[in-house]
Amino acid sequence: MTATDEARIGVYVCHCGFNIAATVDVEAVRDIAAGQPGVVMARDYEFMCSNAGQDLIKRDIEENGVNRVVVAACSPLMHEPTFRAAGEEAGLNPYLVHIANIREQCAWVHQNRVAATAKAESLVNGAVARVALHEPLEATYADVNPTTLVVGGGIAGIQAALDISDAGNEVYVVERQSTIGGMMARFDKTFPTLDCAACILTPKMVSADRRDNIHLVTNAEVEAVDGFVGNFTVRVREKARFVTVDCTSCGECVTVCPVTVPDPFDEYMSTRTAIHKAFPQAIPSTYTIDRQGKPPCMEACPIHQNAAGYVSLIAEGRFAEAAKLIRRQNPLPFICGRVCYSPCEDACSRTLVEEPVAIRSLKRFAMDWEREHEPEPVPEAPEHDYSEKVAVVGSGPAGLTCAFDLAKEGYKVTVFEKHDRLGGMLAVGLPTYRCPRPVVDRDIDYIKRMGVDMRTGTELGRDFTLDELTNGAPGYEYSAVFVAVGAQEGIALDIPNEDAEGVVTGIDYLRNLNLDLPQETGPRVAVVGGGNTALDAARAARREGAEVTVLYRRTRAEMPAEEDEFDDAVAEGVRFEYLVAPVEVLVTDGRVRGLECVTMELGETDGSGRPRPVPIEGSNHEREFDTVIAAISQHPDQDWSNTPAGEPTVLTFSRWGTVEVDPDSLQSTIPNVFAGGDAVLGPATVVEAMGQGRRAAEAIDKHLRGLPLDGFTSHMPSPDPRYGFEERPYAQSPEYADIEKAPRATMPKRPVDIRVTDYDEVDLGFSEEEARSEAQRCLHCGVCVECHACDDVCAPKAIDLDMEDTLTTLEVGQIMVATGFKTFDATRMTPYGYGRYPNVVTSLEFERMLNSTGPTGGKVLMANGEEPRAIGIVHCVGSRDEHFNRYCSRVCCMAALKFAHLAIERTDADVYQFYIDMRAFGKGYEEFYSRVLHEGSTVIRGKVAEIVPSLSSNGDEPHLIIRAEDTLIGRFREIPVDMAVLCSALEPQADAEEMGRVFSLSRSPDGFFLERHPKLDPVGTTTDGVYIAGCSQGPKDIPDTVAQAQASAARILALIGRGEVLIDPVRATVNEALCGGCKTCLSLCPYTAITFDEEKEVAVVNEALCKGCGTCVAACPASAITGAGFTDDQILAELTGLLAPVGTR
Amino acid sequence: MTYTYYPGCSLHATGVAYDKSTKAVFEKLGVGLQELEDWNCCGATSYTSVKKTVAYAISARNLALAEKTGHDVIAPCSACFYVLNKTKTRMTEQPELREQVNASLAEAGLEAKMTVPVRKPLEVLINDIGLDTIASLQTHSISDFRPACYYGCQIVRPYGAIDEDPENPVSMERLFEALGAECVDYPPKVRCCGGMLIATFEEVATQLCEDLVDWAVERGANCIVTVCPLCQANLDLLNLSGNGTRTKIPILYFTQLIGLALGSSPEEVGLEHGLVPVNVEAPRLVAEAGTAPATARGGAA
Amino acid sequence: MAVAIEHEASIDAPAVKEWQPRIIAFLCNWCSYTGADLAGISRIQWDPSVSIVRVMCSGRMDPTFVAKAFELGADGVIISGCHPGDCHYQEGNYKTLRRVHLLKRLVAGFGIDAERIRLVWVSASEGDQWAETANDMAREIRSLGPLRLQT
Repeated sequence: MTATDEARIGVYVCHCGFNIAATVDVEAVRDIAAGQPGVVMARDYEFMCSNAGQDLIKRDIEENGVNRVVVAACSPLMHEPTFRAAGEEAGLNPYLVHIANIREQCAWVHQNRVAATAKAESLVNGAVARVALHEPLEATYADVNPTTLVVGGGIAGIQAALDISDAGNEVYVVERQSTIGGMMARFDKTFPTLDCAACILTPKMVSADRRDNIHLVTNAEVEAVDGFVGNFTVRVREKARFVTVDCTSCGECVTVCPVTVPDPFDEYMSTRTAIHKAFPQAIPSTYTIDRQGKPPCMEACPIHQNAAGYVSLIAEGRFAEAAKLIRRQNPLPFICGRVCYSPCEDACSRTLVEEPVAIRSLKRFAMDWEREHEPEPVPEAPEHDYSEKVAVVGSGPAGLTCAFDLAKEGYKVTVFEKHDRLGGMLAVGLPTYRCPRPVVDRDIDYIKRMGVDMRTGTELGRDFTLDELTNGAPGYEYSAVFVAVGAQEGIALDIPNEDAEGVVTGIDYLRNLNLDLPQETGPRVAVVGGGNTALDAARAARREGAEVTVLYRRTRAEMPAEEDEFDDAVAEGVRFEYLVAPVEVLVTDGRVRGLECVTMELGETDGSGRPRPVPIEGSNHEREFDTVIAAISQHPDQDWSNTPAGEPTVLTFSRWGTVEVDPDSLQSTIPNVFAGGDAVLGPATVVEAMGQGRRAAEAIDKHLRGLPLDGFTSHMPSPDPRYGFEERPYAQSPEYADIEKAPRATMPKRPVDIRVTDYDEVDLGFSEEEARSEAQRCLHCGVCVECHACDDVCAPKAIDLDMEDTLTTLEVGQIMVATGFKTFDATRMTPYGYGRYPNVVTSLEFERMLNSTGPTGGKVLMANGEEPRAIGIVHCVGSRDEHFNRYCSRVCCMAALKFAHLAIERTDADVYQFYIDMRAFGKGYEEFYSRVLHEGSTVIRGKVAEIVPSLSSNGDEPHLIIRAEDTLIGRFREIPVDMAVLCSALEPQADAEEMGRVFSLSRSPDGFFLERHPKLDPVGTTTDGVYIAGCSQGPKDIPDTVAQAQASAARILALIGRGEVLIDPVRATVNEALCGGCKTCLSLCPYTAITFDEEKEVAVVNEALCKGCGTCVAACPASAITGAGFTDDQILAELTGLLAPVGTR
Repeated sequence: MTYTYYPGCSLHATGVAYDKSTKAVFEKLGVGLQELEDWNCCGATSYTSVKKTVAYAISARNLALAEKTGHDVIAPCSACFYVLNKTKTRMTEQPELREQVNASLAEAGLEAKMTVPVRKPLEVLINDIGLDTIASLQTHSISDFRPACYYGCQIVRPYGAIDEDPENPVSMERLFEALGAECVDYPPKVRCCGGMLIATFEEVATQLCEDLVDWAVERGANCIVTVCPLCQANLDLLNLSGNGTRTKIPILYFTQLIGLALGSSPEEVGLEHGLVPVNVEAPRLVAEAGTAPATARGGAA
Repeated sequence: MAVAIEHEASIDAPAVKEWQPRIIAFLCNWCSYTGADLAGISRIQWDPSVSIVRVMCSGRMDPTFVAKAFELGADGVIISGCHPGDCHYQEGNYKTLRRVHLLKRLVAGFGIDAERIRLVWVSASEGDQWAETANDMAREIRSLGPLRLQT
């Protein structure tokens, strides 16, 4: 049949009992319709949707040649399928049947019968005019992918998954938590039968786990859903759990994990370790590690030392492990424990409470403890055995670290040191009162024991040349060279008579003392400069018995020297003079007698970001000194780079004399020569130099393994932006305000009068107690501290701290959403004092208390650990309350009765219930209610006004007064209790809106997901192929949740069984004759269903992709696109009909 | 900064101490208070239950007068504050009512445009003047006071105006802590004092007041601080009852305490009007705190 | 309209004598139409002068529909789609937003008050919002009076 046939329209007006007939004069509507052009038949009937009603239509089609049908009845969303089917049965193309909605959008929403009738007539006229232009359409079919996605692994999700898999279909269950089981897993008993939740839930969890065709994706979220019923494409992010499936859940890791955080599974009433399993029967049983980025201290460390790790181990008194962990990353642990400038402490979150944890001192403690209590540590055998040899020039921190790392990798390493003592700056620049010689040697010996060949007294550029090293001259067969010669040239003051006797640079002064070379120190010493070298020299000079004055040209504020070293210097009697600079060395017969100085004032800030000191005119004055130590800075010498022939090296240098290298790989202009440390950075700190050594080692390894160095990334990953300093405290960290302040511990020092007389170490280190309590200040702000303790005990080696999130794409046919609920935040109900009074608890907290695996092992206990003498259970907290949620949460009454029963069973407490109405609607609920009544729980009908500490209480452990009006006896009552349980409302998940978007679900005003029809389609949604179940649809108890889950499963199975979905033929088609090829439509189509045929220069619609929204149809300037079922003509006709003066035409 | 001051009947009668202290405080703060010319009852009378429109008209007359001054109105009495705001709201919501009332006002050549804000002193001190400013002007220590801050019912709801939880307001606590007085935890701070029931159902009102006082005593307060003349009167009257069996406790206006901190004398803030003498040492100059104090006794002193 | 009133008079019921506006509402099938149905199911009353035309997506709204509606005697037009971000067809409602913006300026050119066209977002759960929209629009159109197209 085509539109050209003369339309013979039948109009059928439904009374829908009184639903329509009460407000619409159906006969009048029928009569008006009868008068419309093309209408050959107009009837009204009490229930058109009944069989008899449908038969009317069928008969008219078969016997009276009706070829278009208008049914004026309820919404097309309701019965359009019914009537289309009826038409089809009578041999009419279903799309020639059209509905006029005179119930939901007319009879039910208007009262004025006249107006309603007139409107109904218009609606019917519109439908008649429209249907006359309807064309027969052929519905297409698409196969249904039998695989199903279940979102949410609570009881609803599990049940549905089981049912669907029973029928032999694949199911994916995506669960946000690390285990399935949802809320039910946290309950103790279930009402009204009081059977234990775990006992009935865990078997289901286990079988869900066992089924081959159920795939559990835990710790995961659905990020995006694409496609339509039958064929959805779903993107799922599985968050890294840092434990692989090899985990046998033996639980060894938990016994060694030093980190504890509040346990969300127990409503934060107990704690759990960073590596954990939500609860004993968790499925999957694989453990999970809580992490919030990397510990900031670790992130801040140039060698990525796991500071938080050893701090946490020390806190537990596991000192040996701590030392072992330190050695893992740190080749110079003893030295760092003493002289590191500890950037970790600057990054420490504890700063936000009061002061950073004393990380450096703790490291020193751990190492000293190891030295005293542990056997000599034996280096592990290298991972590989490489033939290549590497030369490291310079045995300073950079060189040693590089040698350490490369030796660990399995390379043969030779270290060349020009001095007779190893350690570079550590040996020559570092005064022993800060870092005793044996300490330095101890670190170096360990590296020696790793098989590193150390050659002292051999100087690059003197005893051998760079060419020899690089070109493998005999005796120097090295594949790569790391140049770390440091920056040991003291920079001169650049003032007259500097060469006079008694003038020495700070670095030379220290070197001479350290290497026992001749160095005289006069009674009056001037140290010029304010850096660490200056202070080291000054303090050394004090020990040489001199009276020392430090002359600094800026003020204390700008002084680069470290805080505690400055304090030590002051304590040791070093005098400081600021804003003064020497302009000339005063000399008598070639010997220093003093300095001519000038007073400075601070001017504009200079390149270094510090204010530039400016001399004050005429402020020159003379000062008397016998020794002048110029310690303003150092720079590297360059002689080592000389080639034998004397021609210039191919290496390039900066204007500060530092070697120019690639900042990431540290590779120099000579491919197999790398350089780092002070030689590259200029005078820097120990740990920065070590960082360079590590960097170089990584690069050299790559280079020697023939891997490209472009795009080289080192051991220092770029920090995770989500975990910056400002973002703290992180989700799982405690609120800093709540943390009790504990001042940072400082190490005892030797008394000043004694220590200035010798070179023995000043700081004395922590006692075990001091160390432990200081370490306990760590907040575990990244949760996991990467101590690798779990790693070490894990037999199956299942720990993988480098694990990353995995993104998977699932192809599924249908989706069930059962994402559950969250509970009302009871602190919002101020008068009930939750959060202010310790013994006011929420239902969920009480539930956990009652649970045998819960924080109190199933006992009901107050904050002080005693059993309550009376308990008040408050219903409707946040529900049935227009301040919060108007709806009833449905489960609270029964849960409250369950609580009452259990409380009576397990305590001697009197139990009171405060309720508004007792809602015992379910099967066996009323009986349960009376049972609990008989057990002796007192019920008081009345909403609680407030909960306050009692008057008589003496403040410290007050019992509570629940004040409420007893509406049954019409009296106001004040019930004294020890504990109040607030039955918090069930609320939509916090991200329900976002989830709604992902699955294109609507939400009802209360925020829960909206079912397709409140009565007739409670689990369907407006999106075909997406179903909802459980509390994500609205508060409900377990029986109802399971029933909904099974209903959804049935719906899903029905469609799988049918195997194909009808695709509404509402599609766009392009009339090539009219298409001008403007391409407007291409950009509009959200499904990219429209392509451009370059040959014909017309737009082409891909039927399979088109969803029929009609956006392109509306936009086409040439009206070349028609949207089947909603053509321009049809809609315009409908308008004409609608707006035609009713009654006549 | 200047405000139109609406004392209302109470502050010229039972609440005269509130009147004195409020003026004293604003003077110390250098903020102008101009008493509204020819003001009349706020309308918080039984009249409301006799004839609403007339009651509203009475109330609205004040608003009409105040609008002419161009300054915000400060109404210390909670009832005045509540009723004037109620009138504003109702007349804004109900055009008919507004017409009727303005019609009658017109005879007096007045019109209420509902433009003038009616505010409570506590809120003005916190929002307009600010804790820091007040604290910076403190001259005398009030650290011997351990107040129980009592807000009563009418100033927190429905016209709160201070950003805090009406079920658990803390503005007074913040104010006094800024001035160095340690407030006690006082759970019943927003309960009803019985209000006018003292005249009709005395035993009910008395019970409510006894609770309020018992709480304060139990929590170790040495005075109850109120913002409302009716609360003050009801609670203070209790001090007379119980023929000596009950612990007596001074019932102060919060402005009295602030006044003392800002250096007003006990007389200037009307301390002597209280039925129970303030039993703490006289506020000493913050500077010379510790020097021998002259005791500040109200009443008999 | 005259005819309409005649007709209303013809059936024996209290005739609504004064002028009644005719308002056409184009509702998208997924959010707004469902929302309007919800209003029905919940019996939330709204003004009978509004008649609904169902389209699959507010994006289907062709400006000519609106023009035609006015030409045929409509006094006002409501276009309602899913809330931004909720469109069943991902972004149809954004397209509408742009079109209606232009359309309003266009009709103004024909001396038609832009207030006679209203674009709203009504979700499937917002039955009450739909009723409110319809009533409010009817009120507005009543105050504007019948649309007289200058010819």
